[in-house]
Amino acid sequence: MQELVLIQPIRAAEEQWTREAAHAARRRDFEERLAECGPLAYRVARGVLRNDADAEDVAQEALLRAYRRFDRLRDPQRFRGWLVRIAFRLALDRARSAKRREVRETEWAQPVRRPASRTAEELAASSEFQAHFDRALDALPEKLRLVLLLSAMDGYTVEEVAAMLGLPVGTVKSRLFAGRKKLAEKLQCYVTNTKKR
Amino acid sequence: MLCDKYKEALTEAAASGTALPRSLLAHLGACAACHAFLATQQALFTFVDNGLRSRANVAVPSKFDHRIRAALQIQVSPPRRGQSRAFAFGSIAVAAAALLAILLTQNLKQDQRAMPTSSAIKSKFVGAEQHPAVVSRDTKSLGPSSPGTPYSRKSALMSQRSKTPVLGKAEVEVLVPRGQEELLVKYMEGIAARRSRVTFSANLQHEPYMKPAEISSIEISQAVVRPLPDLSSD
Repeated sequence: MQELVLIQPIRAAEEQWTREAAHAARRRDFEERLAECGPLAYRVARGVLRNDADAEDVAQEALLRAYRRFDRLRDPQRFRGWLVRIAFRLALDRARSAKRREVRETEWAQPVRRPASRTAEELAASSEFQAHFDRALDALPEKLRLVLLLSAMDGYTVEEVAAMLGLPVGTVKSRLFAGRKKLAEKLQCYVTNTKKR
Repeated sequence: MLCDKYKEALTEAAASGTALPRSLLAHLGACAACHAFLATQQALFTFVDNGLRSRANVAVPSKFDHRIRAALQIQVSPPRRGQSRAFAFGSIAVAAAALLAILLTQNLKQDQRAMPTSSAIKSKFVGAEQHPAVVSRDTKSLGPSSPGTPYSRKSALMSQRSKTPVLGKAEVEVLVPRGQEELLVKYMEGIAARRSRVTFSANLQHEPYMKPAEISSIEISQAVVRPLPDLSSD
């Protein structure tokens, strides 16, 4: 014979409802941040990977990881920076391990030759410049690269980037300066040659 | 020839875009090499800034947000999976418990037709010692209720189609701890009104000599019982 004991169903139901309510609240809170932080994660990943599909995968993974660990975040104000670091780290891992990268590097070694551009804007828009620029940017130390990418994004000031990364403004400025300077040095030969042509 | 002592200052001026110091401006007016170097540096930093902007401000795919939300929706399911994992230990047991509760509900509905108030239903709960006749042979074989057993009992009709060996008799008895009869009645009423769920749990700790073999096929860890749609129709 089976014996069934009624085990305080009201309390069990209440606990379940409480859990579900907390879960729903957490999800609402997260989704509110998604509108702003989703594109940010995507752009960070895209800035590292230079591939739309890979960037989308990485951004999605970063957002899901952030969601899974959302409860552990003590200071909600740091969510953006937290997410950015997750996305950046995942993108770096993906870039290192992906075989597709090798294919792209092969393509970069033989950039399409185009007529020399006249203005700086035209030159910057050319695929040849982009290839050189991408290689130069990828060769930068990670901490400089992240600051450069975030600072170049529309809508983020140096102060906001500093707050996002939890760094002093001065540190961000110095990294920004050092990164741009290193990039300029690496591109100098290219620009000089282009101008000569 | 480039004047080395101005090189760093020119690079910094090009990088920052700030106005040049007066002394440097005076030198640039006189030194063509430094003037050209500054122009090159300014062009370089323009390249760099344009390149960074184009790389950092890519358009986000239009369906990106939708995909993320869809992925998030899937992500929400783990608690349910965890919950269902608890149920997975006794999927057959859940079905058996559901059947049991449905039968209880049907019986209660019959009782309600006769005695619609909960107090009337409550009066159906009696002490085991007062109705030894309802204790089945199976019950006795599993471990007889000692005098003054702390359980009251409720009889329910059982489907003849039940294939559970333990339940393979005309009636099934559900023991309810004394003092919880009214709670059960309220929950049964709740089921009838389709307002609530009832959770049952098998608890054999107080009957250690009950044979597990007798209940192995319907051992219940936890069961959520929902009423059938047609239960509230009448």
